[in-house]
Amino acid sequence: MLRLIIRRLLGMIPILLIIITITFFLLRLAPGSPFTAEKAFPPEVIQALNEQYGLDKPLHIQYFNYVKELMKGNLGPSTRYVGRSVNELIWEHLPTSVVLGLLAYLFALGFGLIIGIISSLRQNSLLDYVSMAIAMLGISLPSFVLGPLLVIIFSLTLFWLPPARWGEPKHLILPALTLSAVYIAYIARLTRSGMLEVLRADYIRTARAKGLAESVVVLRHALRGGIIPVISFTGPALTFLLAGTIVVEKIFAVPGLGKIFIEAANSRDYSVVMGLTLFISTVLVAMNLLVDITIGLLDPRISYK
Amino acid sequence: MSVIEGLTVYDPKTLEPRPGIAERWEAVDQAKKWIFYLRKNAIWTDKRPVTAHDFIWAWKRGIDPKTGTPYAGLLYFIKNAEAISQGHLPVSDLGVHAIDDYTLEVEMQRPTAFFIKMTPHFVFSPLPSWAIEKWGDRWTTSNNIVTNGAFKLQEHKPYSQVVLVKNPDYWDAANVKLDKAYFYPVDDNPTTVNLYKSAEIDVMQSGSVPPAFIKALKNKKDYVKGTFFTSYFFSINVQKKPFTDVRVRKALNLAIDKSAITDKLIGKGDIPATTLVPPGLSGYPEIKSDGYNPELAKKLMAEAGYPDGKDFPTITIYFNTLDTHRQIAEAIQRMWKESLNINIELQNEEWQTFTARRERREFDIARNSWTGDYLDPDTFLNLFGKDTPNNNSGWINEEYVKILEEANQEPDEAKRNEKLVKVEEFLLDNLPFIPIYFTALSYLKKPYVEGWYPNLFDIHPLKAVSINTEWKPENESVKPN
Repeated sequence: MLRLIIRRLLGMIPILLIIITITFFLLRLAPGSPFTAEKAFPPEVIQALNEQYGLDKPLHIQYFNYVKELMKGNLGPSTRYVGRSVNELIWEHLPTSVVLGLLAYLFALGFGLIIGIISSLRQNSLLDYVSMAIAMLGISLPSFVLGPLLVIIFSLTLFWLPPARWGEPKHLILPALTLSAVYIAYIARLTRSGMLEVLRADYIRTARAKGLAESVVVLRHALRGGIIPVISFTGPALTFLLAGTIVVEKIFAVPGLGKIFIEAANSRDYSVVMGLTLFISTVLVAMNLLVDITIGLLDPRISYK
Repeated sequence: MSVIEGLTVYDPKTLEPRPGIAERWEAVDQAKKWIFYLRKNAIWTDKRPVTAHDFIWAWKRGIDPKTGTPYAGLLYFIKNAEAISQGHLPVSDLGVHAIDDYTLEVEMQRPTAFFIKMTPHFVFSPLPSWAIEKWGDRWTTSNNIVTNGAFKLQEHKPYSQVVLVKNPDYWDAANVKLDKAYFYPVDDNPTTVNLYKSAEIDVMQSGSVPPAFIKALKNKKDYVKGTFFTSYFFSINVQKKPFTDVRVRKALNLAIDKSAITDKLIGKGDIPATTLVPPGLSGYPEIKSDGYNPELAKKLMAEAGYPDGKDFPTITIYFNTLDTHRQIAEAIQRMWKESLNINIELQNEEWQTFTARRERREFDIARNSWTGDYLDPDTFLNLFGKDTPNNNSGWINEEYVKILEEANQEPDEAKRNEKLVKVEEFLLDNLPFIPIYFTALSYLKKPYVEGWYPNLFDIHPLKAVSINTEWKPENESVKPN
């Protein structure tokens, strides 16, 4: 197991290096520059700024300089927020995305599992149909529809929750709910089908035959096998909840990484786009590794030797 | 701007320059030179006095090519500034001098009677040299920053909020009414309106109300409209055939029904434009120019060799991706097809791609808009005064440059305005662009916010703003939906 982890960790390095290289050159192929504005700067000012940020050098030199700085853990300066480094921007806004992402993750797991288990135990009942219909709605309703819908209900009609912004716990609920809706739905469906399969398995019949209480059968024996498809889904889900919150961050004016990402891309803030791409890819790769390990621990059929 | 005060401050209603750090000023030698007399009771937040040297240091830093100031172009009116920015002269040659600690002398490159109108702009602010030398480009964090204005920076979280508090050491603190002001950067317009409806914010920047909401909101008491200092137009690439022929350019202009665009299509109160300079400048009259006249347009096209659109090449209108731009381009595409029988293609592009294309002049026709930097026609007219990246049309005319410069050097304001009218008429006669509309100011403001007036720049000095705590809601606040 330890060998596997080390091997996988080492395998991350070339993957990330490829990502850096592709992103770096793709970004520079895009027209425009960090100093393009509606009101064009005087050419001599643009030249001075390019020199300041080392953007006047040949592209391959810039690339090697970037990688060199990266090895020291330095993601470079932001061209949009003068005086702020990319490291700082990420660290400042990471907590926002993590809090929002984790809360949405908890919503997704909590509601998803409960709905899924109940549906599977009452298969083909009215309760099952209703929960699966809601789940279907959750999957098909995009966040830019669901978000404003929740705002209209909870902020502009009932006046219970603020429609946007960040800083207090009350700001968290609507964006987390919007963000988690799709995942609640997926997890509910995955849990239901996983559970249905397991509940018919021989070892569950054995467990029941032993005279175990139904709650023990369901929660200890069936659930352990039934949620394996859920677990392999939750890894990528967590990554997307942490990094893929762009639309929700825009609707609710949440100052998270997604918002920075999009603004940086629009304003060609090269180092910020690079830094965030690298950061998100690292999280994604690491998360997949974590999932593999968890599955190995949960499922006796899979072994890493 | 409420944090660092310059020589002058904007009047909250008219935007005319009012005394700031400078108590009074005078133009000398036909406005070839300006002298500012600074007040002696203005101090920085670290208790140092605000002196003429703080202005000189700041302006020299601004023009230094090493700094890379985006708005350096505004400083070019000062003697030697442009040559310094281009590296031909040392920074020390900039035409600003301290006669004593509280008297600032500014030498202009040419006589510039309208210089005073620029002085409230932030590029002319003084700066605390000692703080910047100590902290470098980290001097603007809330812990390090040293300021001199009516408000101090308490907190700045990028993408989240800026908090200002009243500065008790400000020279005019007795007249500052607000204790605190919060600014939220929200880039989604429906979200901004939602925040307003749920009373999380009291007022918003102009342009934050989505066009689709305006119909429902425009009769509410909270809805404020006015004129903004922005001209929306199409740049014509005059270096390319068939646009080298002024008759073609004029025909294209004559064949657009602009009020149909502003009233029926957009409907947020924009003003149909036939000129470049927006209305609302005191002393500058409205210029009569070509309106909608499809018959004359047809005639001009025929004269130019394209009767009923025959042999006219298919041309492309470029615009950056946005619904409003598309709607306008589509409407014009249809109008040109109907009146002139010519074929137009539409091409939208991502903002950066589009801007780069426009600067390289790789287009037939490109959407454009320009917002003035100072309350003077020159801020629009000089777009075509030089071969700069902002002169997207590529129209460079020696006669135009000459008469514009002559007008600008005229010290008498009334005479200068007369000359500027001639300059704009000359421009309209050559028409290197197609005027479309002047943008309307449009925002929501709670009725208890006072001292916040609609003005051409949508700039609102917080010093003048107050909250009327006596105000009682009647039936006038904006209700959801």
